[in-house]
Amino acid sequence: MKQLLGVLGLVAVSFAISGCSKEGCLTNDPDCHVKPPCPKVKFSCDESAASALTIERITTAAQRPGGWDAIGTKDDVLLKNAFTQAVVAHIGNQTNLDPGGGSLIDLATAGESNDALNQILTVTGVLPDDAALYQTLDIIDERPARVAVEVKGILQNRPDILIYTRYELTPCDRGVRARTEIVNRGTDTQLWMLGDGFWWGNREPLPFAPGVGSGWNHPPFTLGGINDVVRTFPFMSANSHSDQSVSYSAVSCTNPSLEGFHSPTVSFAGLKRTVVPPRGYLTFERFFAVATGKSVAEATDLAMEIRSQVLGEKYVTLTGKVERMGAAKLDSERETMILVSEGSEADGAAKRTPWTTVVPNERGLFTMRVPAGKSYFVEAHSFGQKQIGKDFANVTSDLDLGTFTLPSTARVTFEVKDADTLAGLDAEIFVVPAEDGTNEKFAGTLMGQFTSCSPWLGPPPGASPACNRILVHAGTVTAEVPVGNFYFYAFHGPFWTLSRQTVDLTPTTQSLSFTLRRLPLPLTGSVGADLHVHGAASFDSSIPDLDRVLSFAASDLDVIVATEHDVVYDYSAMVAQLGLSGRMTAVTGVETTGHIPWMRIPNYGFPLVVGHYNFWPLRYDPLKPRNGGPFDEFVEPGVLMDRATELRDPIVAEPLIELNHPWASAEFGRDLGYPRALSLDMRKDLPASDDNTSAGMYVRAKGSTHKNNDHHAQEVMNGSQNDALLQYRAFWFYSLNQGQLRTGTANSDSHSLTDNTVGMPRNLVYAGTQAGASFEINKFNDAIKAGRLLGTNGPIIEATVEGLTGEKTFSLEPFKPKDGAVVKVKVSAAPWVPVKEVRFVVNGEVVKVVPANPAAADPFGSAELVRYEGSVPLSELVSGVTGDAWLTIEAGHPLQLVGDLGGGLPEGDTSPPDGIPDTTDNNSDGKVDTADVDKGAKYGPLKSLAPFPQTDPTFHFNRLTDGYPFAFTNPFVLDRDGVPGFKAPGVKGGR
Amino acid sequence: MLRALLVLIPCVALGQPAAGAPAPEAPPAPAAPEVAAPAPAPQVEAPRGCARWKAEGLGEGPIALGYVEADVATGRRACPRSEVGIGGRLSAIIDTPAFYGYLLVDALVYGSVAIDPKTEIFGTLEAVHWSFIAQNGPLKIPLNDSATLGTLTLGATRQFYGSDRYLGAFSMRLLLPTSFAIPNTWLIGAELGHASSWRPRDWLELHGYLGVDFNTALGNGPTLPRVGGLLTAGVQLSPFSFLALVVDATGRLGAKSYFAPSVALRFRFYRLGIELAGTMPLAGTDRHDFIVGGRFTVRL
Repeated sequence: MKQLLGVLGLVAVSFAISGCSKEGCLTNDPDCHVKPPCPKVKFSCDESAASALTIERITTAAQRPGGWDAIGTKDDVLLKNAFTQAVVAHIGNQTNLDPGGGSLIDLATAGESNDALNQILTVTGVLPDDAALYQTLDIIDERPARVAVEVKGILQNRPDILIYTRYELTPCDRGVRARTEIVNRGTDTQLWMLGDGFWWGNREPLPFAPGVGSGWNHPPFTLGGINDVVRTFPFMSANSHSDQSVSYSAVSCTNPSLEGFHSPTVSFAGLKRTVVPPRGYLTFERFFAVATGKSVAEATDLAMEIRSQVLGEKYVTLTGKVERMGAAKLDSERETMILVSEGSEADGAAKRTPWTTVVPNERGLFTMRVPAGKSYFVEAHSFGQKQIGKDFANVTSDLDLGTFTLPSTARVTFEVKDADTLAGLDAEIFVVPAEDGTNEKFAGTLMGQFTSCSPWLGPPPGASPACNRILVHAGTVTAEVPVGNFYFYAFHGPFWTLSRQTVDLTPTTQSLSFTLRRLPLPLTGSVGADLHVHGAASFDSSIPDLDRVLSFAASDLDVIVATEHDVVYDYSAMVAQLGLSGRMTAVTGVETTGHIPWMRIPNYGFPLVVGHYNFWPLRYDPLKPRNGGPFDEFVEPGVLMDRATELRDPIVAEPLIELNHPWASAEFGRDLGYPRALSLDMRKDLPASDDNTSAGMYVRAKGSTHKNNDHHAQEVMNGSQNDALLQYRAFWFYSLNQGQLRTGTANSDSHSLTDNTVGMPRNLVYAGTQAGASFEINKFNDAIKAGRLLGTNGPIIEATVEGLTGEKTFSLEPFKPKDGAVVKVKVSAAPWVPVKEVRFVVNGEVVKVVPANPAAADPFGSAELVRYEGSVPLSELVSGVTGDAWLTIEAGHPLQLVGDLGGGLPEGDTSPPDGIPDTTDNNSDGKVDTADVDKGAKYGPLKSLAPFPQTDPTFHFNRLTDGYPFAFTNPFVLDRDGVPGFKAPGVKGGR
Repeated sequence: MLRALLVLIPCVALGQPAAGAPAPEAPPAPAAPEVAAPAPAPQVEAPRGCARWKAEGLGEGPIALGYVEADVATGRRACPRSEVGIGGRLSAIIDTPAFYGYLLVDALVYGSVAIDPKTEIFGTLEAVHWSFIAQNGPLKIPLNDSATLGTLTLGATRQFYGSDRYLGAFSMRLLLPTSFAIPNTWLIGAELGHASSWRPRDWLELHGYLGVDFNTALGNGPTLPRVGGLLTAGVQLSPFSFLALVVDATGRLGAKSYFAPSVALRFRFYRLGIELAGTMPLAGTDRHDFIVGGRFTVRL
């Protein structure tokens, strides 16, 4: 009995001890508050600045911080002081990777429109269930000391894991402080990597993290290899690489380093990976610094200050000056970037530790902080190339680095006029090294980041000049270009002449004048529309609105559909500002973008997303989450279609629904197209209803009025390069053979001036309406739904088939051809757009190829537009086909030889063919077989065409698009069997 | 001292004196029955049932392979022994659809002292508690980051009744906060139980254990007190003095509930007892795929 009493006594003591001094919300007391984060971090400011501290719910759009990534909306919480503005999403206001609100979605400096942050969200790993699902949000107003937002919840789908985060702002903070507490109240041991996921999105701010051989450079990884790229770093910084000046940094308030990984799409920064058994807990305090700046230095300086306060780490301030004779500008990453690395020049970049980068001010002066007591190598970059470097040994105190003198450039003024009216044109200048073999000489990058361009005139995703491209507004622009011998192309869309000049630039001021002429191509009755474009409102774009809309005009587009990822957006104001309202229409739409894998399919072990869909027109409403776009996670496409329909612009009865890039490769484990996510097998017919297969999932309606395949249109061409054309085309042909009559479309999916040339390709929509004030969206959408649409990046196909009641043009409306019907075809194109052949496709099979006049004698002239004109008996084309049929006509460059060697489920060595091309003739032996496959792979790669040499007539086109000419009609649907309606030919094509 | 102990243990296991120790005056005792040492205190009557055993070095009682810390909720034998041993336990959870894989290896040091024929005190220390976890898909913990000192239990068993065939004892066990496995948190707890043993023959034992346990956390985090109950019943067949087969069935209610059969082979080599055991839950909320273990025990 004494022993028993002893045990009970011990238990009582343990209770007493364990009841003492609990931290924050670890006990899940309903009235608890997370401890104020970062108590050692203090910023000072004057009294009037300190009084600016506020916290409020957003109720009007004007409260939202400015900047192209600002997505704060109604009920979100705005924390603001004299230096910082930050928005925490309200519970239920889901955006991007955040399953339910509570993430930090906007971060900008006070008084400026420079939010370039997509999202910072609390996570414990990289899987969907590792993200915090916050369920309550409390506002803490303890002014004048602090304001805070406290969110409490669980890890997604794991109710036994409680998580609490407090975002706090004190009066003089240059950023937001945060503390997260997480408790394992479950029964299983967990591995947590508690920290923050930074959703950069790509083409936006890039992560910079000090580390040996690191800085901007981070080891690439796949979703399955993340563990191998986890590194420690003292802080992480980032900055916008476009015309929006903002600089961010993340630094621990307690630890000397963070652990994580980085990529242009996502970073993770947090505590080291920790095994947390049941009842274990972790806390994490960090500071998200924000500053106005054109480099990481401005926020890195704040991180150095915080580390000084928290860790006692000393820093020194480096100053210096940059000069360039004749420079028009010095103060952007385009003209000057200074990189400071620990080490010496002799060490080589792989052994140096980059600490910061800085862009000088307009006078060339710069300043930045780095840790004291180290030796540094300081290098100056200009126009994407390293120009000069200096060593500075053992820097123990503030130091003037002296002057860095950069090589001069040419200042070139471009003039582009309409040859007929002499009016100044909006146009795009492409700069291309003129001499073979000089690409490497002029190639540059943003310190190894983004695309390599030759020459490099600015960060590729940013404002003009970007990469090797310069926008011209109203006929004139001036830009600095490195000296050298270049081709200068002036471009105003595929239906205008192309002009080129060859100039050996010297470091002087020069002028280049171009004239372009609208070509008499058969465009009557059509509007040129790009139905899939992105701008800075997307999480993966940072091209400013002005440049975005100017690029539409430079490509001579009539209609553009704004399809930003996950947010509705409206370019109308910018269209009006540029004076384009009379001839250009901007439609508000969205591209729904699945981020959070959840969908399970047979024979595949990983969860998936449903890919991307475009919807338009939707009502743009910044006071709704996602500006009025649908919540697109955790649902099948049919439900998504229902949701988008509810959010449509009421001018239409239903929005147009487009299935995007149906067979694009997954990015970071997220599929971009629903058919590929399902791993559909094109060798098998679709079931009539859900049969518990992937194909059944494609055709079913699960909790929705729409079926999952109820889209109206699907992309056949996506992107200027045409790199996945053959796969999208194969899937479209399959759909048509299954009787799924969907309109094929052609879109650029452009995110910048560089990744795709906007409007290349485009859709000629025969809608009976014109762009501008009289534009009728219903006619436009109806024409698309009806298939009265030609997809093209240059060639124009006019085609008719004789029906019982006269000649029919292509559309999805079935008709009965008359006996002895003839197919008439005429193909025209600008002289610089080669058309080498015309193809006739019946039920998915190319049944006839005829050569065309490939190119005009003078590619820069305006003659020889017609490349083919002829007629073919329909009976010849449908020979061997029984029953109904569909016919499309293609024109352009010959298609690559491809094969289908695998791709189906299960993955791996036994992956069976799936009916989709996956391998090109990579050894050029005239056949596609295993000899073309990369070592260790079952199939692939599917390579794009190599760049065309200067001697090839496609050279000019290829320099502008990285692709080749291609156009296709939508199908003629031939009701040959006399039974009303179209009877699907099936996978065998009716043969 | 340590060296002497290391030398002594295998020597005792073989029934031989350690170097430097006086040689035995008589040859080793026959394999069974052996005369147990130390000698019982004169005022305590020796339990007759405990002597009904095939061989002194052969293990007895429920299989000591548990699902929680150290030897908590593993049951306990009814007969006191003096012994020392080392062992290991490997437990695995492999949940591929949830991208969760967990391996736990405990290196155990344990021992007991029969302070009289009815009473023993015992302890088990997870000398090394090493976990490898692959969670969140690709994330894994670096191996050298997860090896820690584990928990220590100390306890005592006292026979309260018995006959020449049946024995009943009460057992208690304390879970002491020695482990660094949980960040910022230490576990403490206790277990009370009743062990019983019915030995109709020296080659057959039916054993059982009924226990309740409680634990809670110390630290700045939540205490999360948890209570569990355990019922184990099993049989040990000892056809030979060097080999026995044990089959147990265990049901537990608590934060993790399970019904799990356990199987063990027990070997004897002189005074060295070896146990190889395995268990897997057939029902309940516990996610383990299996637990296997081995113990090497020297009867003193």
